[in-house]
Amino acid sequence: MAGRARRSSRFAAFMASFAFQAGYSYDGFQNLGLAAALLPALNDIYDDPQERNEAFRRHLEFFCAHPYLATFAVGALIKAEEDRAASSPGAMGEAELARFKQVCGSVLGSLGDRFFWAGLRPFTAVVGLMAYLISPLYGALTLLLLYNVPHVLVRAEGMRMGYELGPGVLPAIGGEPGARAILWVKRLGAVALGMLAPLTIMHPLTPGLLEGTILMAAAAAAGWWLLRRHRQRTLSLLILIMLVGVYCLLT
Amino acid sequence: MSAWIVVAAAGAVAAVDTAAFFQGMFHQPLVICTLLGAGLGSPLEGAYLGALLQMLWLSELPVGAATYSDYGPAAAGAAGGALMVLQSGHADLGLAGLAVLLTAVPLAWVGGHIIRVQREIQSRFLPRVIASVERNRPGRVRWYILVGIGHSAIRGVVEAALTAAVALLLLWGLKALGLEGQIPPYALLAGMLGAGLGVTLKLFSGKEFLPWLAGGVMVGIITVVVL
Repeated sequence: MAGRARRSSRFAAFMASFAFQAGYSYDGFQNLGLAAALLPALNDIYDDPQERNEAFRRHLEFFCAHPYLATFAVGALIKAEEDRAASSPGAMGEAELARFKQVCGSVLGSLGDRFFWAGLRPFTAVVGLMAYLISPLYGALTLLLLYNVPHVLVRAEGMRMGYELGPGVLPAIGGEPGARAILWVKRLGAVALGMLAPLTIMHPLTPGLLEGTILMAAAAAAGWWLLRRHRQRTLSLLILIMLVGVYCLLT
Repeated sequence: MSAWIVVAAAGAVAAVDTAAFFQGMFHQPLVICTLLGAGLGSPLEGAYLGALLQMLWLSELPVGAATYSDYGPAAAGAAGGALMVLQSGHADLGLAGLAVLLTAVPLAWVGGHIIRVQREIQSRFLPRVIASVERNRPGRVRWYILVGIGHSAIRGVVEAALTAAVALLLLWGLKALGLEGQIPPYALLAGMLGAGLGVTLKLFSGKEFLPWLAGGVMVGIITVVVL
């Protein structure tokens, strides 16, 4: 007799999503995190341990998505397993489920990497630095709040939307809405990056307006050039630090 | 001794937050160094050291199987070592900042390779989880998730302790070279923020973002004038 995932099991899946990458390996990537998140729901859906174990084994296959957006996949997979267990019309077969997970991985991975890693993370870090320049102890707090409010909300919303829409969740976030969100977070990041320069140069502790401008502009040009020219990132950063250090010593 | 425990704890928090649990940016240098500074009784100095490091790795994306710098524990360790010397009154903030920068960058790179080893070790989990399903105990997967978090914590403790020791030695070395009092802390910060701007520009280099970047500069100037 097939059942439905209880609300408490879906909440347990949401909480388990925070440790999505704890068991990360090069063989299965996030497969253990996905299986652990789905387990409470699978326990509700399948009364027969044999069927439950089979479903669990299905989700031990390779899986790789963005860790925050993975909740969209978790919610959708719970829904898909419910439909499958109840033999609902349109329920996904084993091959379709595997294909859906593969597509989920690429769509959510690409979206999350661009929105969170390349957009929200630099934006909040730069705003945190601006807050630091205004009042040093507020920098860290600003960064944490500005980043984690959307981060946790997106995870929670992912769980809700994934469960409600099932496999239809991907078109809902992957197309126009996702692209628009990425564009706006990157625009905000560019504005924050632009603001950081005058805030640093015109700070009360600045070595001097002209000197500060020359120092920042030269360091920015060196940083941009070194990281573009050389593939060896650590070495480039060390050269950059040496250059800034020598400049500070000489002046 | 208690300072080393605080540094190790900060390293563990940073390493666990990097990928194993929550990923709420507690491992960002500005955050972890401020927290570490608060733990050691010098939050302002901790925040300064974190701000120096903050922008260096922003353009490095922790994507898929890529090997990326493990900068959280490295920042915590380097700042911890420097703060210990600062608190003993044997160094100034500018020199401590330079020592932190020179230590954290290479050790973050070493940490990235330790992450790779950790992930290779964790490849052994899957056959064990499959075996536990065969014994009708799929719940064992939670145990392996906890072991993964534990691996990350241990990695953080080891990296932070190692980095702290290197930073401590380097700071004494720089002091022996007669560099104490030679590096103005704010100039170093301005230089590193400038360098970080150049490094991070890679993420916003499209022509489309140039007007937004220029707009940001204008807004920044107006903000400073108004403030």
